[in-house]
Formats: sequence, structure tokens, C-alpha cells
Amino acid sequence: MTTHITHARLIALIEAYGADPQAFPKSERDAAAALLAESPERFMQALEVAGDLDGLLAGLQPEQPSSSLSAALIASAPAPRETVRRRRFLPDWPTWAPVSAAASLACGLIMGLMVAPATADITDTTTVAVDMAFGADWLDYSEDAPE
Amino acid sequence: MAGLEVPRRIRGSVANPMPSSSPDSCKLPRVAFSSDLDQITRAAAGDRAAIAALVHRHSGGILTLATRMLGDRAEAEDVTQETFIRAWKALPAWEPRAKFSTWLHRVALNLCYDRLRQRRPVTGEDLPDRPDPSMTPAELFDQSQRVGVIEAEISRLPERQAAALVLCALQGHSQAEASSILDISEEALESLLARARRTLKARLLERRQTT
Repeated sequence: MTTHITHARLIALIEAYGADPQAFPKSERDAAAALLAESPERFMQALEVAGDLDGLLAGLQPEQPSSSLSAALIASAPAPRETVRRRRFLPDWPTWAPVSAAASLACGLIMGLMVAPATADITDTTTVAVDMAFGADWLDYSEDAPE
Repeated sequence: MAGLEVPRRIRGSVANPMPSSSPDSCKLPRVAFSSDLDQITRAAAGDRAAIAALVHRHSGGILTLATRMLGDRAEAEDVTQETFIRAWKALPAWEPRAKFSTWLHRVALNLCYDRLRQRRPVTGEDLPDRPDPSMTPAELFDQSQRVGVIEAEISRLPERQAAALVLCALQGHSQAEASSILDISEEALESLLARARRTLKARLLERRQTT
């Protein structure tokens, strides 16, 4: 914070920023105000000229956007990004992968059903397997106690 | 709000944005945002409330700057729209190295410079003779003439002088913010302001003397 400014510096501030010390750079405001209070007559002319222009500038009102302009500005903004829901099944795989796998399985089942015969004689093979496991006469066994 | 510097002539805050100058233009509910960055992040994601809040906060200042620089409301509206279109494109990658307001004003100013250079050949800045201190511009025009004359003369100023004057004297930006927008030092800003005021006063006097 500047504690002292010269006469020339205060004139320069008035010429740049106008007559209101509140418009001066913050670091020099207090020193400027003090010098003005100390010898106001030295700066009277500069303040009058600057104040006059300040008054003219203060007469200019800020521009207000029309409703149509505001609407256009808002409408020009991009639409909200859609959130993509993460799959639970194979989430890191591409979309086509699980679909492709399911299709392959379905095709395989259909093909299998189409190719396989309607009845298959499996008894021979089954009988041999059972005989080997339980003995050839296992079919003679009865729950009834021998008499 | 830390880091939020509000120009003297503009009041409001992130949590309580300025009342919309055109309330019928947007009926979205007012939302409190935790910070400027929060508002920008949401706007980048397409949050309509955040977008509307940014428009309402900044469009008036941008429109005023462009109108004073160009002297033409219709052209200023074009510049305002172009400024915001560029803002929407930049938002997703926005990094808070500078204030959004500063960046937005800088974009608008550059767009104004482009248009001004298309209008007239670039010349060196003219420094007028020192005006007669015994005459004041306020004595030269009646009230009804003043606003239009001053607006016209501001738009005729050399572009950097006009920009400095509009940012500081009309919009109340601090020296720090105005010099950041103009990308110059505060000393250079002060020099521009002094010349702008001197040029403006001399041209107002010249106008009066020729009418």
C-alpha cells in the first residue's frame, strides 16, 4: 500500500481514472485521498474537468440483452450428454460380443437337433457298461427274499 | 467467494445470480452453484440451469462492451452470440487458470477488433492537441444529445483506448481485471485510459465547435 504520492502522480491518476478516488488503483487510494484533503485547491481544475467527463459517461446505461437474444444464447449451448448404462454381462466387451455368443449357441442347438436321429439305440452300450459294473446277473436280483 | 472479483458496477454472486434482464426468456429454476467452476462444469455437461445462469451473468457485460466498441447494437448482438458459441465449445476443456469472465471479455474484444479492422484501414492512434481547459463537454450539448454523441465518439476512439475506457469507466472492471482482459500491464492500461479520456474530450469539443 502506497503511503505517499506526489502532486504529479495525483494529477496522472485523475487524468486516467477520473475524479472519484474510488476508481484509483487500490494501492494508491488512501494516499491520494490524503493529498486531496491536504490541498484540494491545487487539484480543483483537474477534478472539475475529469468530473465533467465522468458525469457524461455515467449517463450511459449498460445494454440489456433482449429476451430473444438470451433465448438464442441458451439455445446455442450443446444438448445434455446422454449417460450410457453399463451392461452387467461382459461390461468391458464390445456390444456385439455377447450377442454373437448367444447367436452361436442358439445355432448350435438347432443344428444339433436337426442332425441327431429321432431315436438312438443306446441299450447295447449301456448294458455292457452296467454288466461290467454290477455283474452279468444283476438283472436276476429280486427284492423278494429267496424262499 | 475466493478469487471472485465483482466489477464495481455489477452486483451479484454465484449463489445469487443477478436477476435476469429478460425473465420471460428462461423459466428454468434458479439453482445455487457451489462455485464458478461448478457452474461451468455443469454447463459443459449440458445442464440447462447452469447454461442459463452463465448467460444471465455475463451476456449483459459482453453486449455492453460490444455495443460501445462497435457503435451498432445489431452487430454487437452478433458478437455476443459468437462469443457464447465459442464459450460453449471451450467449456468441456475449461481449466480455471483465468476467470471465466476475463476469458469471455477477451474473446468478445478480439471479435470486436476483427470487425473494426474490416470496417476501416488500420492507422496509428491519433493523439489530439490538449483541449482548452476552460470549456467542458457538459456545457456543449444538451441532455438529449449527449448520450448518442458520447456513444458515437467512444466507438470512434482508437480500439484499444475504447476498450480500456469501456472496461474501466463504464463497466467498473478493476485495473487488474481490465489489464488481464487486454493482456497488458496496469501501467499500459493507465496510459490508455488517460489517452482515451483526452481523445474523447477533444472530439466532443470538436463536434460542438463544428455544429
